Amino acid sequence: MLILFLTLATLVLAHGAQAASPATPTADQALLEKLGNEIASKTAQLNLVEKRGIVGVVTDSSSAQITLTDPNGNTRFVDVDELTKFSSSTNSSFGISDVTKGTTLGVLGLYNKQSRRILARDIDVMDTFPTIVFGEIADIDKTNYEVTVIKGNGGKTVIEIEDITKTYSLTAGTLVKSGFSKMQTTQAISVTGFPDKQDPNKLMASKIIILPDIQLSYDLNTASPTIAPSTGSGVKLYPITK
Amino acid sequence: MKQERVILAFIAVLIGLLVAGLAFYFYQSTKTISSSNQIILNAPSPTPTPKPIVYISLNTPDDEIVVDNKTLTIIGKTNPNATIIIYTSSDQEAIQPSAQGDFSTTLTLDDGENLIKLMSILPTGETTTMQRTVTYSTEDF
Repeated sequence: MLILFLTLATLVLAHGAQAASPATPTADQALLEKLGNEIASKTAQLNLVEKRGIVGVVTDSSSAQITLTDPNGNTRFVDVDELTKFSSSTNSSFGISDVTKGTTLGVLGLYNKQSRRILARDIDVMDTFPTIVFGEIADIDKTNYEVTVIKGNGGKTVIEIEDITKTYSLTAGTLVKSGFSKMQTTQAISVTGFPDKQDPNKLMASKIIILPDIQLSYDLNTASPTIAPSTGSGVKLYPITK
Repeated sequence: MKQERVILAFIAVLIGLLVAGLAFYFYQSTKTISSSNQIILNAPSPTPTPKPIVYISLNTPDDEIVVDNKTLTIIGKTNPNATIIIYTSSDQEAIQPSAQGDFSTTLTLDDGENLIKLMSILPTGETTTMQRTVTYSTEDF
């Protein structure tokens, strides 16, 4: 009985499979199928690749690839080919051979979502992003036009107020022009600028925003001095003091 | 004949399992534990993870986006009483959100890649930061 049932089932399935199989494809059907496959392949490719622009610091480079660390700390792989254009504001003949570790690059290219690599079309050397200091005014040196700012980590930075420094105060939600004479200790300030080449512990301010409504209440007594930046060889740079 | 035997065997196994299950249930329900053997466990309640007090989120722009318009609109949300400072390579701006915490502002982009950093600061001094890379390019490839 079981054998009979199995035989019948096999016969029914075999007949069904024969009925489902297509007839011999004609030339038109083959062409349609080919076109359909090509469209599907192109659509998949377009969805997989998109234009992207990234910024990162070079950690490694070769003739065909650059490895960067982006601002979020992720490692990014950039492929370079003969269509990749290089540019630098300081070097008109900048090329792949000039890419060195530590350089900040901006890369515009085609990002592949699957391989997570970017095929670079434009690579340019980025200008240095200004140093940001946010903290509380700990001391005001009215003779040298300097302000000492204590940061959240306890570090201190001396801000040099230059003629070009623009100072504003955020009052009732709007930025109002202010100045050095209006600064007070314990006020919160946000400073952007660039390190002084002669004294790396000092920052030459380009813009200051005073935030009178923010109370930071950092402990001014336990603040430690800012650690001098390392040269990379283990030797710390300290300003020469007479 | 063979089929009947299989069915009977199956029914017998089922009855056996049922009887064994009932016997086990009655055995467990009649079992008593003396109070000296009982231990009351006072499991400490887990310490809840402190929620971050200050937050910032951006609706636009997406990170690493490429745009062909020099004017970029930044739209986001933060604490209603926070102050937001927006840093770019050439400037810094401070804005305050609405009573619901929504904020919106526009920036003019430089050619190429633009790094934009945002800091939200509460009146008590707590801060949080977020950054976006936005590229201005009209190049077609």
